[in-house]
Amino acid sequence: MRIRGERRAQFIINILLCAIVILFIDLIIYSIIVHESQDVYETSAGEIMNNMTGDKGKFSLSVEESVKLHSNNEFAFIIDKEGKTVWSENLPDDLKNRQYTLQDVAKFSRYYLEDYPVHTYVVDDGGLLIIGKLNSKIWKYTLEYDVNNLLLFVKITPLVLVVNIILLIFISLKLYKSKQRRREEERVEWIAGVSHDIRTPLAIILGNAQMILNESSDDRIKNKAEIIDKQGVRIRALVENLNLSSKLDFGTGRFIKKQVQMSVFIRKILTNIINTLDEDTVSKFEFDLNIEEGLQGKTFLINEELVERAIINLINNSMKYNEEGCTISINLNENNKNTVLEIKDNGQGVNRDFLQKINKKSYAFEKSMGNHGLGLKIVKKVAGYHRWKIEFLENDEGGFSCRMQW
Amino acid sequence: MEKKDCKILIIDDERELAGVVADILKNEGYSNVESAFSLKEANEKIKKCQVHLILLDVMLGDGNGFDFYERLKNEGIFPKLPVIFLSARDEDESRLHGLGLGADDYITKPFLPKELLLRIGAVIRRCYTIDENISEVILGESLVSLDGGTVRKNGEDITLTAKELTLFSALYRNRGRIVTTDILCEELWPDGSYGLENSLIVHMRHLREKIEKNPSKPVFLKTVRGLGYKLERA
Repeated sequence: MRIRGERRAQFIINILLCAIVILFIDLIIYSIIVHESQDVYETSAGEIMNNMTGDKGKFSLSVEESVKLHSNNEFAFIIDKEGKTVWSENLPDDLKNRQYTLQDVAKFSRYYLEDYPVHTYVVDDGGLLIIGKLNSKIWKYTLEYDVNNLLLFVKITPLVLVVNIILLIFISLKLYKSKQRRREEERVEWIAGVSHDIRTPLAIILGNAQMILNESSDDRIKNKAEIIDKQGVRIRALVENLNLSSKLDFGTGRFIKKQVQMSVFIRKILTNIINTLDEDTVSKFEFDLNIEEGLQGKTFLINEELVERAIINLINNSMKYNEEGCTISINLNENNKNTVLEIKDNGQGVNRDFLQKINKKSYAFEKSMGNHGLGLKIVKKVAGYHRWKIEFLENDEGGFSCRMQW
Repeated sequence: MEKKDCKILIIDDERELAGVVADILKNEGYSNVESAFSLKEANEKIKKCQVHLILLDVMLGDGNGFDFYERLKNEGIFPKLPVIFLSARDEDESRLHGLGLGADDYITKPFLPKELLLRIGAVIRRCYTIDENISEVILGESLVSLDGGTVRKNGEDITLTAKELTLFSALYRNRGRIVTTDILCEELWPDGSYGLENSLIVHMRHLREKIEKNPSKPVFLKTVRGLGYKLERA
């Protein structure tokens, strides 16, 4: 879980960095465009006025400036207080011989003059210099803003930016999660498929091993058949654990819980285990079942398949690590209104390092154990599925103990 | 009916599996075993002769075992023909689906041969009356007659009560294996056995007194503490 959290944090940081980089790139691109784009009017009013001579309504532009105006595809004219054109240069035909009213001036100073974008400039003696562009596309708009609104805009811009980034993270997380989920589902299906395909061949192997055991009178061959049988049973447990493990990891609602009389259930499981062991193994192990009288008739809401698997795994585990034999106890008790199911042995126990590892939170546990201890991993998951408290410990006799409490 | 008369049909497209299941059954005394490797073949075999039990795979080459079973039931030719599903599908839903259709059992592959035999035996016993060929069991110095319900010990005939005979039969069927108190109670009191564990202990004590040479140190009828009882193989 911790690693998964770290991975998510890393993911969020990555998105944040991405957002900042994108923002920077955008800014750079904009500034380049703005910087590289030319002024709308290549000839400035100041330039014209500086190269203008004449007074008392008689103006004349220098030849150089006039050529420049022509080559820039621009025109210019000056009107006096009455709106009469007193000087012009390169004027288009539709503007020639025109008288301008105050209304006209107000219009073209804001918008366009007969569709020509123009620019006005106040001349000293009360006239107006107008510079316009021929066959050009210029967008003109007059901006008027309340200063308070502008301030507000400046203030909320960073906020909008932050909201955008959060939105970006949220959307990508959602996408990431759904993708992850699909991948997990595929994995579960894949494992289910593989374990399904192993089942039939394994049944054939187990059946044939049993037939050899039944029919052969040669002890050496019987011995080999027994080995095949034993290993087959091992693979069977492995396949079942693997399948269950993947289903528990990602499947939801696939396990049906029902009310089960725990005492009868545990007796059945333990009896089944003992009944399928060979005599040699039975003689080495002692099984001790203790169910508190008050719990004999009590039922609990559990999934039988999972709890059976957990109990089988714990007993198998005790038998596997104490090959010379030991006593395996199953105790079902009531403790402070909680029910405690303890499965323990008086065998050689396990070292503290191992105990520490298996008591860790699930994910770290998984990582430190690798594929070993799949059986115990499932026990933990089964307890987790039923929301039971689970603890592995060294008991008074030095053996291994697993306590589940609910 | 005797075991050898009970006709069992195995329907599985895996020939090797059908083969080994047949071997296991024959070895146990079910000599009348047939196999069908497709649903089509199974249909023909069912129509040709009387079948007492079907072991049915779920996913076959030419169809689905669930559908086949439903069709079989709907046709109504053998409405009470017991069917056990033998499937590689272990999901709860699949199991519940099979049992929900009315199947007598659902066994997942890979099964242990012993487990398979026990479960088949249980279904057959539930549906037919099977005569165990053995009517007499020798336990040390005692001779138990299952037909007569008597025990001959020290040249004396002792009669077993009905409950004692039921108890003994249940243990004998599972000889060498532990049978839980829960199952024994169910055998003795099929209509409900809640709280009758103490009566079971009493019946068991009487049975021991009749069979064992020294009832306080039983050699054959063993108690397995916390779990149940076990009849040792003689």
